Amino acid sequence: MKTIGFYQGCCFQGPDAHMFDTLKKVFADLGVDIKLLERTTCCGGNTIEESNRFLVYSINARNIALAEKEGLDLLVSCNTCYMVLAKTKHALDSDPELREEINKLLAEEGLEYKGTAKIWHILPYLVEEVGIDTIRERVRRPLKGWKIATYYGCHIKYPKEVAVVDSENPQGLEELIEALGAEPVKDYEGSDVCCGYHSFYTNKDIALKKVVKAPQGAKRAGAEMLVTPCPLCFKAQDIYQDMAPTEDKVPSIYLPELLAYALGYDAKQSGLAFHIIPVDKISVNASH
Amino acid sequence: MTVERAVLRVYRYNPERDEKPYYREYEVPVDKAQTLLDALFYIQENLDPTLGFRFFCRAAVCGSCAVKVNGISRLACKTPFKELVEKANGKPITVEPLNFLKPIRDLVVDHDQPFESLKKLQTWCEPKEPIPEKEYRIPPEEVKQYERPTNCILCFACYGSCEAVMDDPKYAGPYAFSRVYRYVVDSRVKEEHKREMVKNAMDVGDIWSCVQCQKCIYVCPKGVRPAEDIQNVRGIAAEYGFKDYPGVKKLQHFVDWIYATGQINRLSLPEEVYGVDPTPLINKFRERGAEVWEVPKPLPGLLEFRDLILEVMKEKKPHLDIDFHHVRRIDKRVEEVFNADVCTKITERFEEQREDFFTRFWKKLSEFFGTK
Amino acid sequence: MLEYDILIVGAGGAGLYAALWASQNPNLKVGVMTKVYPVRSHTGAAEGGINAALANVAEDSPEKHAFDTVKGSDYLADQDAVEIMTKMGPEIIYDIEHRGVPFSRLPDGRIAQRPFGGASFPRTCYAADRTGLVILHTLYDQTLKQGVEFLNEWFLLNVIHNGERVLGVTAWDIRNGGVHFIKAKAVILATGGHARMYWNRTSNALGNTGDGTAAVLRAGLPLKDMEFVQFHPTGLRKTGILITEGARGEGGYLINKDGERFMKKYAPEKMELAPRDIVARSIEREILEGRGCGEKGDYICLDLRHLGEKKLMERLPQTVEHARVYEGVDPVKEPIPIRPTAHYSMGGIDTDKYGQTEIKGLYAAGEAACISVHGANRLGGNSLLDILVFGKITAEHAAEYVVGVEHLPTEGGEYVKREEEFISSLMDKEPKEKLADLRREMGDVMASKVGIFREEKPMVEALERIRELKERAKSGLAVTDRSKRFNLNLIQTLEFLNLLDLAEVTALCAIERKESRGAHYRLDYPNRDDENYLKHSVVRRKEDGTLQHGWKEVVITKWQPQERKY
Ligand SMILES: Cc1cc2nc3c(=O)[nH]c(=O)nc-3n(C[C@H](O)[C@H](O)[C@H](O)COP(=O)(O)OP(=O)(O)OC[C@H]3O[C@@H](n4cnc5c(N)ncnc54)[C@H](O)[C@@H]3O)c2cc1C
Ligand code: SF4
Ligand code: SF4
Ligand code: FES
Repeated sequence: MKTIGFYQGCCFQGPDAHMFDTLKKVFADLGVDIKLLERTTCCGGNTIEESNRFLVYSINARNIALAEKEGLDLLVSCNTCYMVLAKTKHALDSDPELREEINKLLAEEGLEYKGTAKIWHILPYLVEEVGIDTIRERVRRPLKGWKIATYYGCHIKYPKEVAVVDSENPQGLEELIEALGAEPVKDYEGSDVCCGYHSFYTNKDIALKKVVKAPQGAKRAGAEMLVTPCPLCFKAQDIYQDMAPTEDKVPSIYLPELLAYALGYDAKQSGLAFHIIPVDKISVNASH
Repeated sequence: MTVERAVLRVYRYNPERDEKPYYREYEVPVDKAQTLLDALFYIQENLDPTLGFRFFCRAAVCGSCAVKVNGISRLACKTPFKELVEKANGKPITVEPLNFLKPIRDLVVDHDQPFESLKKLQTWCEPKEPIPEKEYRIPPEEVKQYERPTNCILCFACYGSCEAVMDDPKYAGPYAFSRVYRYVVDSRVKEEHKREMVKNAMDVGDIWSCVQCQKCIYVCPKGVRPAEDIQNVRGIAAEYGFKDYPGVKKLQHFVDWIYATGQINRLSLPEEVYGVDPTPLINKFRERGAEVWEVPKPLPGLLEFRDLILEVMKEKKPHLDIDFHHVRRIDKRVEEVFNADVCTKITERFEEQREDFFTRFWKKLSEFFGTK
Repeated sequence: MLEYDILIVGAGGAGLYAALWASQNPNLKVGVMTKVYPVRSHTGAAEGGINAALANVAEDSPEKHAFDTVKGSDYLADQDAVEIMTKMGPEIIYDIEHRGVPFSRLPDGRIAQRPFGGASFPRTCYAADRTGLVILHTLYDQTLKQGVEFLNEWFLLNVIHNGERVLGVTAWDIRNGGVHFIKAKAVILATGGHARMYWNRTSNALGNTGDGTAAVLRAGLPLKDMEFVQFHPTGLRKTGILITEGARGEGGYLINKDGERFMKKYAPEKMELAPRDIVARSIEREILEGRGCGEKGDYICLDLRHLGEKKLMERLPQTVEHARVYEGVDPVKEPIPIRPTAHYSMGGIDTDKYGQTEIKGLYAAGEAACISVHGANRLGGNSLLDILVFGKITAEHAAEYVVGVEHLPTEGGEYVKREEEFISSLMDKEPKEKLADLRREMGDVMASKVGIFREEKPMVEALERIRELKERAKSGLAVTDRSKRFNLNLIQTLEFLNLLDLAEVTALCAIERKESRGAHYRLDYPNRDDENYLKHSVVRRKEDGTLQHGWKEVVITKWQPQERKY
């Protein structure tokens, strides 16, 4: 069993605490022990930058240092957390002065940012470290006949220095979906359009316009649902899409939930049952 | 394998004679073109003299030649043709005009409008009085702050990729806000004019519509980072006291909750930003059987984390201060919900810290003014 | 009909700065016409810096700056004009600094200055390696503030005058198509240089085609010192794109095909850091004598490998990128192929020290003009200063002039008609020649025969060849695109015709000047000859189309010619 430090950010709170349990179960089944780094905090949500970029670097250097202290790499699920952490790493690794300044602050808590921990986003981790074959082998409930549009989200594609997938031709999700027995729908209209999550509390109208673009495009391309590795894109597509004035809502699934379901967990255990926009493909009462 | 000829699929449209746009394919020998711009010249010189596109410096400084290549905004003169061909892997390379700008002919789009936006936002220097006889004294560190934004060549590649532009016709564009930032952090500019620019950025340019997708940073051929400059300008808006914008309220939420709990609280955001009661949404989740935490669980290490934040804020002043009254209310709620000892301690500790914070602040002030 | 008190043609540094000063008087109607959007102008490509005797780093004075300039010009500059320029230098820098130009700074907050070729003190103010860009953009922002009116993407065709006063100009509206007459009491031409006559062997933008200069020639007015074209030693082989002097400053080697650092033969002490003209000639000589690199032996290598990747990325990121994108060469692993590239036009529209031409109300400023402050050779960093100083002076002069005069009574119909007929004639022709071929031929002829090394016979041949090209263009170069809207084919043809006219003048002047001076180096007359040629050459076109060549005195105030030694 591999062990990796897990950075939860602020994603698994409110109504979403169960999403972490799902993720932990799935990774355990795939041979990865996820060790929650409990002292890590919110990355600032790409918002604290507005007030104080240095603060963002400091709290995320702390987050990374907490993993380093345990001698672990850092696994991140949220695209935005990933980007903010990776930007921090990039800044600290390329600017020794900044690093020193911040390490002075971290010293009070007995921490030091060394730059040794690798920061993983779950998508490449699943594809490269866990391996598509392992995943295929563990599937208990092949998702036969499911047509799933892949939605990568922005912050693992841009900006370039943090990208974990080919920004102009991202890959990985399709392979994963195929491994689960489903049929991926790629390059549909709107597949590259932002989910709108981050503008919901700065300009709601924009968010509500954006959030429907990918789902509608996916639907036109014949998909029944979307899957995304990012819990924020997922939340936007689940909650905000529901608020948007469109007739046909297209369900969206957070990648670990989809894996959980294919690995044999039921609708509740996987979290699929709790969506605002119901995933019609599953029957909530069916357990295995 | 080396490809010898590549196919360019080029958008054509001359409103003078074409009813609607169409695409034409041209074959270009790969060794005849170093850059995509050379490939367009090859077409123009050998295959079709009527192809319209813009160029001038052919060296990535004039900003004329941005086009959309396989969906991505790029400077034609800075795009190595061979790489493009290799990446296309035998498929045609589609060349189109930039998104969101009025078509003029073929790859040429209207640039008047994005230039006009600069005028509307008033991105220029109004010199601060008194104007010195020689130069203003400016520390090199300040120049660093606007080093990146002043690299901008106004090619509008970012504009053509912008998610906010796509859905908000009023949105001024990434480059425009980089320019606002550039002048707002310039100490030569009059304070009133800085405020004016920031206000314009919000009311005329809709800066809060930015979704922070980071595409502008990705496509910028000059290393400008508009998405980050936008964050900077937003923070300055908060500092200037423009409190009524949802975005500023959101920022206050982040600042306070993260300090208080190490987390934001998504369930209280609707209320704090828009005054909307989140209960119906919470109920929806509960109906479906989900467990709902009304506030984030307090994290171990929170006290150290708070110390860190206060230390940082001593060194680098934030644009928006923590609202400690708010923090106190948050602490109370966390205590109620979790009935956790740690929270009582947090509250006490916070009072201590606050004392400490203000004492230090006053000390600094008096040091500054040289009085006791 | 469009009507202005002052019409400025060109929106580079000279044009924009002129616009700012001309529109100081709110009662004047000022317009700026430009064939590309202002910020596209070639001023934006200037990297190195702008000279002024601020004395921020070392003791300095306008006087010393003037002397360096005069010496650099090989004594061909008009010394009264040079003195005006260097004296105004500091005030101009302070003015653009107050307007927001983000200059690099000294630790104490004053403007930083660095040494530049030919200057005796660190005098060049800069903003990293993009001085021209930030000046151009800052001035543009200021014109927006001042509400300056622009005619963007309009192409100057001809200057109209009545032999005494200027009436206005004719122009083509690129976006919509169509000829217009624009009436103006004063016209300032700030249309930039014409080094594109060397086509692929120039650091200049594709549109630096001397349109204003050619229009003045067609208007029967004199051009001055057209034989003087500055070559920069290190242009990229394929495109002529500039590799900054900094690459050698950081320690780059120039290597011939035998791997030899050949500069030791030509400048044993200064080696790669000898003055521009000497390095350029050394490189050219290596190539001509068969020691060039590559299959055709037509270039020299700039080797930066020994500097290491880290230093290269830190100090010369632009150079690395240029080499990668435009030559497909990675300077970390391979040497960069370079050869000298035509860089700056010292010659241009003949004006006095206020930028005035013979025609009242017609002015020229910037690289288009020859005032002359650069004489036979321009010092690096002096051009940006020149364009601002004389942009301002012409604007102020013009603003004063127009207050006292009325528009002349003309609707301009006849001029419009003439242009329309000309453009139709281009379109109605049987296309027999290809623009790209003719243009390339012009560039090759100019580079090989009226380039760095010059000699009577090849130059006479060149003149003939250029005249042949003119004939071929006249009979067989047609505009095949008949659209009005954004007709590139038309614009590029007009630009080419302008270049041909100016190439002819350049070749003629180069033949007439039987000495070597500054950038004009003749193998058959290797020495400077002050007795016969301490004079400006002046050319005008007569009604019958033939060129008339003559001379004009150089203004000498304080500095008698000495040998130019470094
Ligand atoms: C690569 C490079 C680097 C340089 N570096 C330096 C340096 O470090 N320091 C220095 O002092 N000098 C430098 N120079 C020289 C200097 O940049 C130029 O001489 C100067 O910028 C010219 O300015 P200008 O305003 O006269 O013309 P430009 O900036 O060339 O502007 C000409 C204007 O005229 C307009 N125009 C032209 N033709 C027409 C027409 N037919 N109709 C309408 N409008 C027209 C154009 O649209 C443009 O707006 C450099 C030059 C090059 C090529
Ligand atoms: S910010 Fe970058 S992409 Fe946008 S206009 Fe400026 S240079 Fe172009
Ligand atoms: S980050 Fe903002 S400004 Fe940049 S492209 Fe996205 S929406 Fe536009
Ligand atoms: S031609 Fe100037 S930026 Fe491409």
